[in-house]
Amino acid sequence: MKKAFTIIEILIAMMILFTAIGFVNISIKAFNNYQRKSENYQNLYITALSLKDWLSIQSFEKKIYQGIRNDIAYKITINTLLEEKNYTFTMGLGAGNHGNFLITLYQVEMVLVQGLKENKFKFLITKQKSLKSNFNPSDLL
Amino acid sequence: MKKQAFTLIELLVTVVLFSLLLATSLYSFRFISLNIRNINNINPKTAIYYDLLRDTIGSISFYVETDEKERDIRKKSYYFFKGSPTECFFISNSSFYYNNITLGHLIFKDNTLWYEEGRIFRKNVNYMNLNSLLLEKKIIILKNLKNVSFSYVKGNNEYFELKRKIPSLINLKIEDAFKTRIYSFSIKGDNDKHLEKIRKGKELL
Repeated sequence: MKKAFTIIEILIAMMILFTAIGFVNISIKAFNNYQRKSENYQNLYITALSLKDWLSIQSFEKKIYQGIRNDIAYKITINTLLEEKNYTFTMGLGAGNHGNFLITLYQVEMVLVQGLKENKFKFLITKQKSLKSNFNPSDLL
Repeated sequence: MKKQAFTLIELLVTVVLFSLLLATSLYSFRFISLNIRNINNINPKTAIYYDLLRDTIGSISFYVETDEKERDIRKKSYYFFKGSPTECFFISNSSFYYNNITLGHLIFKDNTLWYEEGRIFRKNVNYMNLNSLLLEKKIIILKNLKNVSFSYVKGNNEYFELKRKIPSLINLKIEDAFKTRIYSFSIKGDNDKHLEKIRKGKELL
């Protein structure tokens, strides 16, 4: 005689299926999280370096820069650490006397907020400004 | 013996459990399909390529003509740069593949951001006429993009076309199906370049 499944057999089969699906679900979620984390990290890395490059052409007239770039909110604070006058004379290509420059050392604090996570970076930047009137080194480029 | 059939309650329980199972599977499949779509759009090497590109663009330099003994002819040095909204040509001291002076070409075409480069100082290459230069290496930086627009910052102004002047910053506005990103690359060595007296205006390409 052909024996049919009982309800207990069906329930046990379903439980096993549920468990299997649960494991698959957890794996997919873990993979998804890992991928999102690596993407976020990649985005953070590129954005931090992009902002650092962008800062290198700023004149630092403002002491605080704020905004959003690549879905990351940033706040950059500039502190002046040291100012020195320096007389520049060079050898090699373009050798000669280039006059007095004011060289300033700045400490930059960059706070990047990505979702709920806050990332802080600190680094130093120097800027030089010619003390000759109407002379900007980048004009010669 | 009487054949035992399922009762209504048993059937209902089975249907409910089956629906739950189906709902869970569909939810998982949604995740999987989203993931697969994302994977197609994200190149895992993006950060590495960004770094290499940053080094290459950061080392954009003036072009110095040399004599037959490869000594610099100081008065024959030129700025070389050619930038448009979709591509830019530049000469760099550092590059992706070679530890040598190369002509770099960054271009957006066929929904892909490409980088090409070729060595300048090679046999049978007239390094003062770069039109004939073979760009021997080619690499995909990003793919499946909607648009990439290039802009060049020089002084306090932003340009979409720039020739024979080296910008201080190159911005790439990259749009794909999901978001828009801005990548910036500063050109380093500014501190040295102001010491150079470079002759401007020579077109090499």
